[in-house]
Amino acid sequence: MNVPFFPESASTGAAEVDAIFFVLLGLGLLFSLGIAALITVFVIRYRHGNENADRSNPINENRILETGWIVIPLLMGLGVFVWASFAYYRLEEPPPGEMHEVYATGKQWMWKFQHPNGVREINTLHVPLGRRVRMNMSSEDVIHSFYVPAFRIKQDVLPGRTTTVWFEATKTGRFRLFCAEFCGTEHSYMGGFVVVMDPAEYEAWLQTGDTAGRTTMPGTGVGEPVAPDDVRYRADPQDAGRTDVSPEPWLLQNADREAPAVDRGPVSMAAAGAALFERLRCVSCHRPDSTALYPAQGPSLYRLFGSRVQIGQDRFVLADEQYLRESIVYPYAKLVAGYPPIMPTFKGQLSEEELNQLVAYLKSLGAHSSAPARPVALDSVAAASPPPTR
Amino acid sequence: MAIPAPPSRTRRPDLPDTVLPDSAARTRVHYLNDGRTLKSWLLTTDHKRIGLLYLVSITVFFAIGGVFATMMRMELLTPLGDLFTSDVYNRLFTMHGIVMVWFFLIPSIPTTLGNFLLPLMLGARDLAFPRLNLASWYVFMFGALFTLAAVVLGGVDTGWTFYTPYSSTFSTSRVFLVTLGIFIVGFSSIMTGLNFIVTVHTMRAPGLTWLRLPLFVWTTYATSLIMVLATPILALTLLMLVVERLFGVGIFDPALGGDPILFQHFFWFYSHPAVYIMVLPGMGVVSELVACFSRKRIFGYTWVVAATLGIAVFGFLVWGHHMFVSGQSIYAGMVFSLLSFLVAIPSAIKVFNWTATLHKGHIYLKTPMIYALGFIGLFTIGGLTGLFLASLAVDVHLHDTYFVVAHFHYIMVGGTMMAYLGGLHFWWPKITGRMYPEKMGVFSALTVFLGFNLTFFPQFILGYLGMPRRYHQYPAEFEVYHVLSTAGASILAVGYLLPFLYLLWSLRYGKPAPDNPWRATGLEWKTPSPPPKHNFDTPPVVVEEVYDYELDEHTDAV
Repeated sequence: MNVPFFPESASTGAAEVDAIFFVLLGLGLLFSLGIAALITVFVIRYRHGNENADRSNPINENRILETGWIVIPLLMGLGVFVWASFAYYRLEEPPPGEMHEVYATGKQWMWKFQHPNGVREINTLHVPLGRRVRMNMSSEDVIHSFYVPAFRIKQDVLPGRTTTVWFEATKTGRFRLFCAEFCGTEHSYMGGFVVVMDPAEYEAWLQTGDTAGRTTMPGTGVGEPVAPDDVRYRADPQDAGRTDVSPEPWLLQNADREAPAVDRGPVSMAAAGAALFERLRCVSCHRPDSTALYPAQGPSLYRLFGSRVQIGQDRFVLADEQYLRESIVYPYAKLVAGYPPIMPTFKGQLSEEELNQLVAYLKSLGAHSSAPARPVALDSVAAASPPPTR
Repeated sequence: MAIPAPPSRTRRPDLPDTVLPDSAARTRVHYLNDGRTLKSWLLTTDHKRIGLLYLVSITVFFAIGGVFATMMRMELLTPLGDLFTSDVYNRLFTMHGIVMVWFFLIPSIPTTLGNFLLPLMLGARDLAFPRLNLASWYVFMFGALFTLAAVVLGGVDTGWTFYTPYSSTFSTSRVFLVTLGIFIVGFSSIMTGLNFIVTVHTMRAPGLTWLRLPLFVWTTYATSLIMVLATPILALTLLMLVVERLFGVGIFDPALGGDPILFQHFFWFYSHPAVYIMVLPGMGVVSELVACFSRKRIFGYTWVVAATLGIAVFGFLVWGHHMFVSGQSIYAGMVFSLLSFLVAIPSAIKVFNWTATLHKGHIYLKTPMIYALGFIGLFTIGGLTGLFLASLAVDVHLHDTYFVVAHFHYIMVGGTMMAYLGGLHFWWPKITGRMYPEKMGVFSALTVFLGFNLTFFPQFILGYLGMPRRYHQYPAEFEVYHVLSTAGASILAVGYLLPFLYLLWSLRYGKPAPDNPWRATGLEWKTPSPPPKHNFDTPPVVVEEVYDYELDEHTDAV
């Protein structure tokens, strides 16, 4: 029988988490075994019946001892606290530089992913090896939590809000993905795999966008004969004899229920967002060609992402995914200073995926810190570009 | 065992206490036989009888919660969800949590041992508000009625934490009935806490200064402060949850304009201090037991008192450590992490002081002492693993896994439950006038210790491997640890069943207890066993310091 003691470790952040874990384990063993040893020695030496033990001059108070066992554990604890906090910062805050962006939507009880070029998949997420991947996540219903133990990352996925998490995989293979926040009846089925591929293979997979790419991964269990253990791990015993289904019950069930596990979207996410931008008539107010004579009614959205937006006297907000999303759903929550509150709310009119596509489109209009994605000529006439301070 | 078992029906000549003949114990008038009608029990204002009413009630709830736990462990024996449906399993762990937290752990030591002992330890005739005390039991039972009704009508499936918007909008189970029950039970907590606080302030015997109070009184006092200050927050939170659920007022559900994280802040602002409501009284019990069975004053008494109050205060400032991956600001996470490291220090002080008390003591390994030593070991592991969860980067991995499950069971079951059983054995002679069978006691204490570790230690490894909690079915690689855990749970069940049986047995067949079988200090031992209704024939006056044990004066059980 296979008895695992250590979880797989497959991301750049995993080693440091494990290091802190084992330092804590060492300290924990030191204290707990020390206490256990002292209790054992005292109980044996001073047991009733052993009247020869030296019990003279027992002490009931000792300030030096008390201070010692306050200060020493405190210093050890603070050391771990500082280290773990820095490690947490590195886990949570992505390093500067280009990220491979993936959008995720949690719903009862499946994970839906969409890659920037429009490829969608359910409960299986393909990512490239050695590249930083940033997940932009939201929920359609209740709170879920995106958890990949091999990467040592976990982030709650909330309704009405975008949360992000990033990782960089260091090993190819299949790694379990769980929902870690209880979300209802089939919570324990809401999971799947993160498949890490060589970048070249990943690019090829992105183009074909079908599961055939998975068979090219020897040694990872993908496309290989199903292991006996996996056969037992089936939700529906009726499927026990079938060979044409995935060994993962959630893939099976959810694939039957909604979309195929992998489905190549027609267009990239940004393009889909652009189409929405047109269809919803966003463009009529957020015109890029605003002039003094003919001013646009809404602020320009070019190079908005990543900038600091003024929302009141001395009040600024960072235009991240969460801000973009919030401004679509609740336009007046953080209204750009100087503009009238005339934008209609799109609350309840857009699915989480459509919101993600709009955000992807806005991000494709150039980040504040990077070169604009469109010719500058279009953008240069914008009247209300955000204050360029950061 | 070094203590020679004295021949039955004879007493050692050096024991000053008189062992009453069986018939004498029955004829003497005491609180148990002073009124034998059902009415005399249900309308009693005697703190001792109310303590027993609570004892019976929470034992029933412990049994109910235990049955839920047993069913869960049976389901988890195999990776497939093959015994129950997911809906049933989700209800099982939810009801297990709710029943055990609000209907067993929180009331456990305060309302049974606390009710029985507090006036006795203070040298008082009763609590400050005897009728409020009786009312608190009725309120408790009234609230329990709603929760039991919800169980019968299909249960609730939100987890004991009721996270929104699942609980407020999506769940189709009996959320309203259950939260109503908990809401009502909260008032019982507040009444009890208020009663205890006033009693400790106003009803101490002459000479019983604050620094002569037994540590059990101190921890009960600190617990009462938390009960009075924290429970209203829970009541308000549940009220808001119900308002959103019934009337669609947007508070927590983002679809209605609310914020789901707000609920988590409210909930943990109560529920983290509630952890200390559960464990502080246990610490008090263990302090009494360690002092008595080491025949020594507790090492660093004043430091332990300060640590008790420190826990009560700092416990209010760490709620955010339940939310490190919820989307809360990472800087808020750092503050809560720091405070969580700090709150571990007072607990560590206590462990070190209990251990130091053993030094140069005269140690008797009686049943209560075995429970107390078990408490120290398990609480130490529970506390240290809490530091893993307080460490931010590590918590990201461990949050909402079985590591958390194991951690809080080490604190609440390994800690509080061990202390509760230890205290029940220790004061059983005083409460019932009967001795429990010592050998059975030792055997079942060791069984509990073994079964507990086998049940919950594998869950630490499961959590580190990444097994999420609240999973009805799970990947096959986790199976071996679940099998170990279920095996341990069956041993633990035996360990809990045995005391239930032999304590009941002892009510009729146990040897009559002397007034002070352990030769313990403390005013509660200066009354007959069982005490008369009015506790003390002459109001006691305290002249000696607390835990005034003489090393050469030995205990001996009859």
